[in-house]
Amino acid sequence: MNKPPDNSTLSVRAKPDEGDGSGNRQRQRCSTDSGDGAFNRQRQRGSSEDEPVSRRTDVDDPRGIDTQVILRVVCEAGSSILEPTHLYTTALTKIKFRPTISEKIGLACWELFSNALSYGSVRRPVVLELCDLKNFVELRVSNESIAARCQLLEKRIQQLHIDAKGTYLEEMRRSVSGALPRATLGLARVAHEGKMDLTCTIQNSRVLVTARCSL
Amino acid sequence: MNAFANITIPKVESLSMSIEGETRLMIRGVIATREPNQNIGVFFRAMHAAVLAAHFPTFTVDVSELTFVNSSAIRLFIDWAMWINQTPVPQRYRLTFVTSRHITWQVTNFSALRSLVGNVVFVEPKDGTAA
Repeated sequence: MNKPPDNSTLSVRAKPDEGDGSGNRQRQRCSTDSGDGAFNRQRQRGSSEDEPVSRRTDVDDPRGIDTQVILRVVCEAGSSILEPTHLYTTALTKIKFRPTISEKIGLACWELFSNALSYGSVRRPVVLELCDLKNFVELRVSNESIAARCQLLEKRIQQLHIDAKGTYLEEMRRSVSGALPRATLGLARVAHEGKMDLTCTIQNSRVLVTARCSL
Repeated sequence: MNAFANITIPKVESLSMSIEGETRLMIRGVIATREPNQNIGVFFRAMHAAVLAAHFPTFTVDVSELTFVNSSAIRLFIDWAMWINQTPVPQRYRLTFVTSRHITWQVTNFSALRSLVGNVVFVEPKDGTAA
């Protein structure tokens, strides 16, 4: 899955292996589509548990921004889809954007998606979307989680808004000292190293984290 | 005898590591695996032990062609610095990272690491002077 299509929206759905209980999660259902036919076909087959965040390629952004979804990945928490998604996203953004933008998106893709897959609840899907907003590119990752974790995430992103560099250095310091709780470098890297604008929206128990940078 | 003769370099997808000469490790590619400590971390630990055993005063890790690492991999470099820092002063060696100014993660992370453990970690940009 590491060869991106030329000019289409990729929709991927993946689920962990439920079969043999061996812990091997290699079996995944994936599809590529221009638009979201894959979602519709899946829905017609009666898979109602995985509700994609958006079912349109061009979505109406609540902020009134013209948004094109370039890539959408829908999967369950715990799926072993992080590495191929990162590889694919990096390859895709190298084609579509400048190398510096691709570098930022690659970093955000790994760190946000990794958090969502690790901490998301299996009750609802994890959704990753890469969106072209004409003057910006935005990576959106949403998942279901417990209230305490959502609040922790919100607080951390607020800290990064106030002082991205200071928070990043503090996380590095904690890594060096081995202090507990374990340092969470990922978000700090996205904000400081990637110079991306992070936002966090919580609705009921669903959390949406976005990382945005100018084109 | 080569100080690293008994160390096996792990095979990791999208990553290439090689020991060049007596005191240099070259790392190329990307580290994009969820738990890099399970193979790369073990390898780094073995390299550290071998450098100590051989009493090398310096060791160089060239990451200038390592284009992406996740935050779990950043911790591998932090760990290596901490192992040296926890070694009695007379036995310590100087760990130098050769970096590229054109790769953002290297500029940001190694300057931060140097600010925290600058007594054992040194950074040498490939196109500039050592720090």
